[in-house]
Amino acid sequence: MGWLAYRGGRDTAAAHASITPEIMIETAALVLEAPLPSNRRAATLLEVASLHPEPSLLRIQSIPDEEFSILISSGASVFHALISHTLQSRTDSFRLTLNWNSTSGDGFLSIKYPDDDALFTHDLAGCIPMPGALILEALAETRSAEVAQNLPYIGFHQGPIHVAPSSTLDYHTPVLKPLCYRKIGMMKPGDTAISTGGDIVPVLGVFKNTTPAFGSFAPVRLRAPYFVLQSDLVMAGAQRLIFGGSNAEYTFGCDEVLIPA
Amino acid sequence: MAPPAIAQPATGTMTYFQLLFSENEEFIASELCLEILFIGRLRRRKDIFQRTSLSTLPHNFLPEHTASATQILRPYEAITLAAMRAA
Repeated sequence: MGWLAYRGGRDTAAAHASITPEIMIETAALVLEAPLPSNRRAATLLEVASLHPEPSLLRIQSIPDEEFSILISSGASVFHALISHTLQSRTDSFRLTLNWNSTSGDGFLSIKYPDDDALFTHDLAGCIPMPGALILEALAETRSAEVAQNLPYIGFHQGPIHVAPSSTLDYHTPVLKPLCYRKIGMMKPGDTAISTGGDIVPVLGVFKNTTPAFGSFAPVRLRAPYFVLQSDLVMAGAQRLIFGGSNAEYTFGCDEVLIPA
Repeated sequence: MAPPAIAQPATGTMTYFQLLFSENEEFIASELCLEILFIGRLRRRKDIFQRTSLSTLPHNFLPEHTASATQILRPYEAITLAAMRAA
């Protein structure tokens, strides 16, 4: 289990020595984040080809009618998948996750909008192993500046990854318990915390996920005196804060508002 | 004026955490209220439930969260509000 990812021309993640161009990757996941292309014509988000050890191709396209098409070919075998999505709100970027397992042949494709809770999924069958050369090539692709503009982030994970909902808070985030603060990374299911209503509520579960620190999971530091903070907090941009007070009431006409970090 | 939020320099991977409560409530971190893991009615979507990060918990045990009544601000609104608070 491990990540391999590049972002915008910079080689930042810990490289995975086990991925060589020759191996065939049987169970893994590919994640990419990109701005949503125009709906009028087909646009190729990513196209990589490799001739060694076998001729192979990976192509991810956006096609009109709000669909994405994924094509993987390797030697004589070809795999093709389509996923459709409908936008409820105005959003400009999306996150596409492709999970595949070629031993059982099934896979799972999902699209999520970081600004939104919407999730579109599609089950796949007949997945084929992905040549390592394609993965390395795809990751190397984002090193060129013009590709990086259209495809800010691509990551590869060995082993399946879970789709939404994802965690967004740093290990050191203090959580108010009945008697003290405790780091969120040390919380356990069954612990109690104080909700904003002042009630003591049990924690049903603590979720943890590791992702490359870019794209919608790039960490943001909220600095202390702002938002009545006592200390700096580090979180992903998707985390929402609840914000009350007379300013919020005056400007937005409700007691509390949720704001993305 | 320094902005209220800055990008945290990071390399490699980040491990993130989040809590789940039975109601869609907020918890307090360093005097600031934060939203918990919002799962909506994901429990009912049996087709994708096993694929999500919730699959480590028993299906029957999971709550359903109703959408909170509060409105979600757009990024520029949030920036305006933060600036107003600082002023």
